[in-house]
Amino acid sequence: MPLLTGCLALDLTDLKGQFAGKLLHDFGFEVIKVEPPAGDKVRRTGPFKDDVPHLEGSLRFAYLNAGKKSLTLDVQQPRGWDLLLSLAEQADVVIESGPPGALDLDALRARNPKLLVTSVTGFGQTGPHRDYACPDIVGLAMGGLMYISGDPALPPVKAPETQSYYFACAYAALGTLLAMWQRGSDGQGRAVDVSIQETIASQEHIIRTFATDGASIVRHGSQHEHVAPANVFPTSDGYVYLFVTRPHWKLLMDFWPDHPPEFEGPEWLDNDFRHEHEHEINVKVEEFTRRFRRDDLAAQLQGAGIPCLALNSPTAFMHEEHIQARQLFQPVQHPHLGSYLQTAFPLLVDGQRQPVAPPPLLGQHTREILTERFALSPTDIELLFAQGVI
Amino acid sequence: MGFLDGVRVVSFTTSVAGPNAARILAECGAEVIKIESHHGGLDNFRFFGASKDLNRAPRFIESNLNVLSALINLKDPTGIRLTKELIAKSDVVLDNFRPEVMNRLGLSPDELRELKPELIVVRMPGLGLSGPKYWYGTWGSTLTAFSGVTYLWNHPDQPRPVGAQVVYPDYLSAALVPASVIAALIRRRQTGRGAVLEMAQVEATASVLGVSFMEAAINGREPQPIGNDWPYAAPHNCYPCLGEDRWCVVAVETDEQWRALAGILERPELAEDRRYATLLARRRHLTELDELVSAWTRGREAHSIMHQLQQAGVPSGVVQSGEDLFHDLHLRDRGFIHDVEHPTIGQIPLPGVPVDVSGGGVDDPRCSDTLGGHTEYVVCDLLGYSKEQLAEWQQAEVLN
Repeated sequence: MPLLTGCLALDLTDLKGQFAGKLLHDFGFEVIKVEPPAGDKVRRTGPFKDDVPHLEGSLRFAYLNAGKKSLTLDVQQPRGWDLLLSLAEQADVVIESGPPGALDLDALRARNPKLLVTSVTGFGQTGPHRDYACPDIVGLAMGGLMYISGDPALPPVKAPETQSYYFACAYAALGTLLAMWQRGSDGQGRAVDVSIQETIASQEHIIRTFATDGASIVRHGSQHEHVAPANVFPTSDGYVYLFVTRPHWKLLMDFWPDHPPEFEGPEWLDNDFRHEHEHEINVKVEEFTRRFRRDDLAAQLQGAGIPCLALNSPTAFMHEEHIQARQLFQPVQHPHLGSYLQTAFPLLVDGQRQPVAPPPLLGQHTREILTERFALSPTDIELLFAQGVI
Repeated sequence: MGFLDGVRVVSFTTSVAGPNAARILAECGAEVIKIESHHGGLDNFRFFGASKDLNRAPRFIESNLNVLSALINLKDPTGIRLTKELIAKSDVVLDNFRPEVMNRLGLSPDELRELKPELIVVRMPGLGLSGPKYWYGTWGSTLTAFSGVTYLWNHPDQPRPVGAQVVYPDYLSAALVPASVIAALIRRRQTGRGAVLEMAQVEATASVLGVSFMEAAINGREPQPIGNDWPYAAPHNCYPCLGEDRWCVVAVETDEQWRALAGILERPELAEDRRYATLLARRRHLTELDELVSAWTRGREAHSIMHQLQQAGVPSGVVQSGEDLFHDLHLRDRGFIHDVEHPTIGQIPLPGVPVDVSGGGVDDPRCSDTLGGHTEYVVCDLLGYSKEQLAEWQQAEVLN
């Protein structure tokens, strides 16, 4: 059972904001995705099932819209816009991610003063860059995460999928629920403004490190900024991430019987000292980790009290015994995609994992919504269809 | 006044994920009381940084804004009793320890909800409360590696996985957990029911790699790193600019944007060139496009490139460093960076919670008080004990 019931969100977002609606669905909202009759553009964005482009075959669409309902509506037509306004009257939340000012939000609010409107944009609703375009790579670059990503010998590299959007959407869900909580006591509608740049820039002490230390963090692969060894290390059959702070160093020396004798000195217990000698440490530790198989090394180090985990490919992660035991991947049935496994919502409530739901087919819920929410007759609906409104 | 005014949270947290989740709740207005102890129970981050002063570690300060600090020794039975009395007067209990720690202390979710059935108990372990590896020690970067994110966070065809210097799982769960707490508070207001919430940091991370997992599951194919590429744009990459380690990104998604870019490059003939005129054609000439763009960016300043391109409608951004962000006029204009007053350091510029709710739902960041600064508040004001009793317990190391 999700946490919430009886809440309605209208999802008008493009790729930037779609994960926010998915999160609201996972928290228990009914989420109505309003799509143009030709379908949301994300439906035309791959990867596709079997690499065949199809409006119901986009895996990106399927994940980001899982559990939502689809209503096709041409809001450019007056009748379509009018239906959207009527829907807003019944809704608790509207989520959108268009350029600031592109959607007449005041018209929506005028119909429903209690409406919460959450906007996810590259740079927020105010400020000199508010109209700047924000593909994912721009969000990651402007937010400072890209500068600290990748191999220093190569150009900075962006995070996989559309991470700046995912991350901003987590905050969009947070802000929406916060406004929802307050509305429970004062009944007021509100605007929630999420800037993708700001959500990214809130991570990893990026701004503070410059402010207090006078120097920016620079990219250094997965090497931790203060700790060594703390990096990706090779084994005989793959990689692990090993993380050794002060208490772990002694444990590592015990675990490693033929460690270099120079590592014995008390100065090596000091985080800063080890960090200064990070290259020397990494070279020697790598010689050691190569002697093991990946899973054996992780298990044995963990047994010795040292944080170490295997580095997985996506497929290897799905096959991890631990992940399978936790049933993180849940089966879904979909008329076009077939039956498949999808990542479940990461929140367990009272020990229960929520089942996952398939994404909607284009317009799958149009009739249901128009009938149940507006009491439109089959004839009305046929007329709207003929006019291309739905 | 933050909207969670009146909600009390007891926080047993260390390092990044737990403290940041608690800090966000605090900035949203909750009264967050962080319990620590000199008897083996201090937040790791108090030891990071040049100063030996436990109140001056910058990482700790940033991760514990707006939080109140109390010292209670959880190795002492009286300390546990007082902790339980505090929890009975609170709404939310949050920890990010290994699963067994709270259970061993007699503070398991079941025991806590016996104290107060409508309590919201939040646990955010690295790998979860169950499963064969539940007991593993984890740190953000180990979970990034475990989840598949590090594998994909790379340029294509590299000899080994690389990744980034960020404890991404911590920051993700630190955003999703406060959202979950608020959802549980809303439910409690409607139904009177408390909840036990479990957010495994590795699962929060897997939830932002959902498309890749579907690709693996449905197409039976291992997703591979694609670096700075995006299949629906060209050019789409990171380009060198004037200066050391200066870069900008350019992302041309439409033919119209390409024509605008050709004009800016002072190569209008490229707009009509058959090799580049359509997205389809440009996707076949990515290497040439990257050479064309970098030849132009190389001698120019990154910010001027961004402004020129964005104003012409071409998506672009500077690969900003911490220094760039610190000076970012747009962020300053939006009031994102606050000068937080620290009692001995002075002003520290720090970002607040990155969400703006109209009507003041999120408070400005304030420095956490000094270690144990609210022990008296907890023991005397909230629990009703005398100052003499407080002093006695402090002497006996119960409150230290």
